Amino acid sequence: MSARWLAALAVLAGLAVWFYPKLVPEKTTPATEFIEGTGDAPANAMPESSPAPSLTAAPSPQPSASPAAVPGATPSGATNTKAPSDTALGPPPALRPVREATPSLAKLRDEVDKNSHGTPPSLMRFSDEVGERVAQVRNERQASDLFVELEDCLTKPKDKNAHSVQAVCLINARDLSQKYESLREPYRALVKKSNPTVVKLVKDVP
Amino acid sequence: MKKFSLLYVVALGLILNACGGGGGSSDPYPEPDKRQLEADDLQVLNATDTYELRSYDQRNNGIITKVFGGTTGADLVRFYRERITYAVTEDELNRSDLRMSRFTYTNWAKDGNSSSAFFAPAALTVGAANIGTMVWYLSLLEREPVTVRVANYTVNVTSSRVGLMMFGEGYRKYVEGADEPGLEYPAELRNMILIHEARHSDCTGGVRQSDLEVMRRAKNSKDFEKSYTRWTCGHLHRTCPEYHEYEGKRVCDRGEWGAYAIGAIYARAVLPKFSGTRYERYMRAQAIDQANRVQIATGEPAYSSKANDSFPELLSGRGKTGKYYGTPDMTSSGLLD
Repeated sequence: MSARWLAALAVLAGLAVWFYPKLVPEKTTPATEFIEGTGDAPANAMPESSPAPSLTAAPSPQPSASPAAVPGATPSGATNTKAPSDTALGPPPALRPVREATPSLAKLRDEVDKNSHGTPPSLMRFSDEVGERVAQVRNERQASDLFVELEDCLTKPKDKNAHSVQAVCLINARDLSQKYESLREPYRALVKKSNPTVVKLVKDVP
Repeated sequence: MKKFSLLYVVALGLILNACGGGGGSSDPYPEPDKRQLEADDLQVLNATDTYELRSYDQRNNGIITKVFGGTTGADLVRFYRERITYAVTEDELNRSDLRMSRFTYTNWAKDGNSSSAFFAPAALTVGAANIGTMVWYLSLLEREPVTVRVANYTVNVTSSRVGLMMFGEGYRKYVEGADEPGLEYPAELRNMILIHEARHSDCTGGVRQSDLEVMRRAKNSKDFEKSYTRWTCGHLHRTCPEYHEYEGKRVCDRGEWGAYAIGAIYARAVLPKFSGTRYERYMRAQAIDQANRVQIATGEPAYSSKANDSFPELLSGRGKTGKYYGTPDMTSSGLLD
């Protein structure tokens, strides 16, 4: 009896198979193949001004510059968290505009075809990338600009049915609003404007 | 009585490409033995912060207690151990001895759009598969007892809770293909898999001969899905509804307290551990995605906002149309008649 045959049957039965997400992009895919706006860029595609990617073995306690470590960068009410790269699972994510980084619905569906029960890697990379954007925010103005991008993700979504993508945007908007008091009211307004399904999805996610 | 072999599989038209996977012997970070990795992961599960579990439990109507029987790591491990007993590798299962006289009722698992016997992804990296529940179903369908001799075990597959789990190359400690070796997945990511798979061992509410007959008669998976009703037996996944991002794909739970819901509960409960780290971002994506696959049909039209109850309604105990979800049934039955 072939294990793979049984496993395939289990997949088909909707029963019992998981595959592990490959979070690290294929090395053979050069960043130059990234077509702007498709959201399909490899996760290590970096803007020209970005530092070269580096890896930090998890869970090495080697925090890079956290917001609180930058003089004058600590916003009022900000919590002094560990740097996001201290438990890296791969190269630091790119820092693209949210809309550009957003995986398309087609991409998510394609990944689910290949890996039916696992969370689509592009959703995980999107979460990583947007989370990195939030971590890199240094002041109120940057926070406000990023908030507008996240608001667009929810109110003018690329794909209105991609609720999980919108949920990632909402949870990061929440993070910003918790760090910057000026964004608390806009966040409450955004929750009211957002798809209720999306709001519920993030309801009890810490 | 015959032993099923790889040749039989080929005859069925199933061609699966073996996937790469572990590194060579010179790898300074060799993947641990799968059974060892499972044991290590269970240690992490056992050490789950009770405060986190209690905190989530208190915020959500005691759901951790209701599902896992308590709010300690030991309760989580007990939940798993009651449902998964035998851990075997893909290779061991390939060399196993599974004897059945025939193997006739498989159409229910066939993809209706595929002309081949089975649809198989081009590169299938198996993480973990609850083979025991699968084989138990096959045993019921063929009306004959099945014994699997695998590794050093002799497993009489008499219940969905026989707990035979196969670990494949996708059940990994280290991130594959990373520029720097030694990058680890958090054990909690794997533990969410273990907990999800364990739930598939529960035949909640049992199954009847009439249900099995539906499976036997099904022409394909779509036909099966139209007629079958005992989805909680094995907590089989079903096609996602209209307007869902995975509409038309068989990756949703349409019933109450299925494997996605249980996995999402665990993921959300342990998330605070990763606060402020990159792991948190990945775990958040998982917690969102897994919960998003809970789509309980309410009977309302598909376009209605009340069409499906999702994870939050399940947690709150009350659906959009007033349906009461109450306490999850974590028991397991078998053939009822």
